[in-house]
Amino acid sequence: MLEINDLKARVDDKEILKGFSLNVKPGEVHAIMGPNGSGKSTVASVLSGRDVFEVTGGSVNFKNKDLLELKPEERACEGFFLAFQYPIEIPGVSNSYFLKSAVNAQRKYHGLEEIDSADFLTKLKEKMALLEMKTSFLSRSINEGFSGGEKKRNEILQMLMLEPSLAFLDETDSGLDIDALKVVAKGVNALRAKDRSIVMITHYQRLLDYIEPDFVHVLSDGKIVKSGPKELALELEAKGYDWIEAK
Amino acid sequence: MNFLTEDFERVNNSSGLLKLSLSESSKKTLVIDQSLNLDLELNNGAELNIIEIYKGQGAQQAKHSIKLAEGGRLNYALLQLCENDSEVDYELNCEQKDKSEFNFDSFAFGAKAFKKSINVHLNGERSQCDLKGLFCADSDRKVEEKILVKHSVPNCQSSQLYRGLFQEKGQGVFDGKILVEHGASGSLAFQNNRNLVLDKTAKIETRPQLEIYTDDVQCAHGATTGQIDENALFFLRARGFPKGEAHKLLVRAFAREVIQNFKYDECRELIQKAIFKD
Repeated sequence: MLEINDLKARVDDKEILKGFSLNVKPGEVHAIMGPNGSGKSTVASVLSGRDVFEVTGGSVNFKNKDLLELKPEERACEGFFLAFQYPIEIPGVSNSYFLKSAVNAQRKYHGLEEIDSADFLTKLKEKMALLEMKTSFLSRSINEGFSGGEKKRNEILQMLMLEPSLAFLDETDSGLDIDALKVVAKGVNALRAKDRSIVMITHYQRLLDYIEPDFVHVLSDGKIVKSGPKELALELEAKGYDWIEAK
Repeated sequence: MNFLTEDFERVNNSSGLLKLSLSESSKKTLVIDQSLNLDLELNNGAELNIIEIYKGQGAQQAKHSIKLAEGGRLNYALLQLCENDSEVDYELNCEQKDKSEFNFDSFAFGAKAFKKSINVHLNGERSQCDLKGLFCADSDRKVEEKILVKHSVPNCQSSQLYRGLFQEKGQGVFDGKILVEHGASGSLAFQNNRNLVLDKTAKIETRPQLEIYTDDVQCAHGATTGQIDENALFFLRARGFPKGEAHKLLVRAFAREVIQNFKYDECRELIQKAIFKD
């Protein structure tokens, strides 16, 4: 699904990723943990195609394509989804219009006809019920005046509607209270499938109680310094990142 | 209600001046699609809807004088959809008495030069005005919005919401002023102007002004000018929108913020057609 080899990236003159490697197979759930400034969010930005970062080395293969050669919209249409750490507000564009247009933009990319309005609405309402979202949300502008929890839920809703092959969640759990976290986890778990993969970036072990990963990786100073089963997260929580970095 | 198809009273006036006095509690809708001067008086409780559309060519000018007596209500939509060679000078003066209401939706795009001056005098307690506008310019065209809202007596409300959209050597001026005079306590006044400049050749000069000569008022004003939000553009692309479409969506969203509150659906449609060609 996703093979990242020795990825190096910088912003301005500062090198942030210094040889990041990760291999995600279909159906797997990976968690990337690490202290502030270790490069977690940079990984998400580089993979989604944000041009503020300059890739200086390494390769990224996504479903047998060179991901780094694709435009951001092509990455999305090929099935790469980034759940943003800080979801953006767009006044003047309603959620329902946006979601439908996004679904159709991706269908067009694949040479498919526009989605049937009734089918779209049925599916949307089903996903919204799963995420415990009110229908009034549909006519509101994208994230305008939403609470932190609502914005994160909205990211997950977009993910459920777009059905990506690989979902990259950038600190989706930050700023969520425990109830909202459970709802978000329910949404993510609903997406789990044999042919889909999920990578979560998080600071806290708490998220992993609700979305159980197959692998946990520790990122430090721009590369993965330790990988292990989900128990690694518990060990990190108990001992702190110093334990890894001191080695 | 559809003023484009239905048979509302269309003003056809060769003298260039329309004098109208609306009696108590009467109601009327007028569609004006020629250049003329208005002299209006709305008496107690009268309600008037005006849709004024500027098309055509050459030099045009208008000077409107409006008096709203107690409880009078005027809903006014002004659409400037002129040809590229036209120059329009537009002035509207409105004096408001107690509990009167003036709602003004305006759209400007098309004329080579469009100068608009709106003066509202809140001169009766609890009167209110709500001014909204979208003004756009490209291809060496110039549009000027000048607004003065004067609060002279206590407990009046005013609001100005203006969005400007500029590209390809278009030029704009927003010169909006709130004046709260001595004794106009309890005034509520709001002014907001945001401008979107799509390339480096376009220009907008914005002068939001607030002058307050009394205590116990709530006033807010602000103006911003910027380009397309790169974060929003990236977000849309990351959801699969091609760059051009994402850009278009954001420009429309910017315009929609003001026109979605316009009173007439038909106005919205005409505006969409004029600026987005659809």
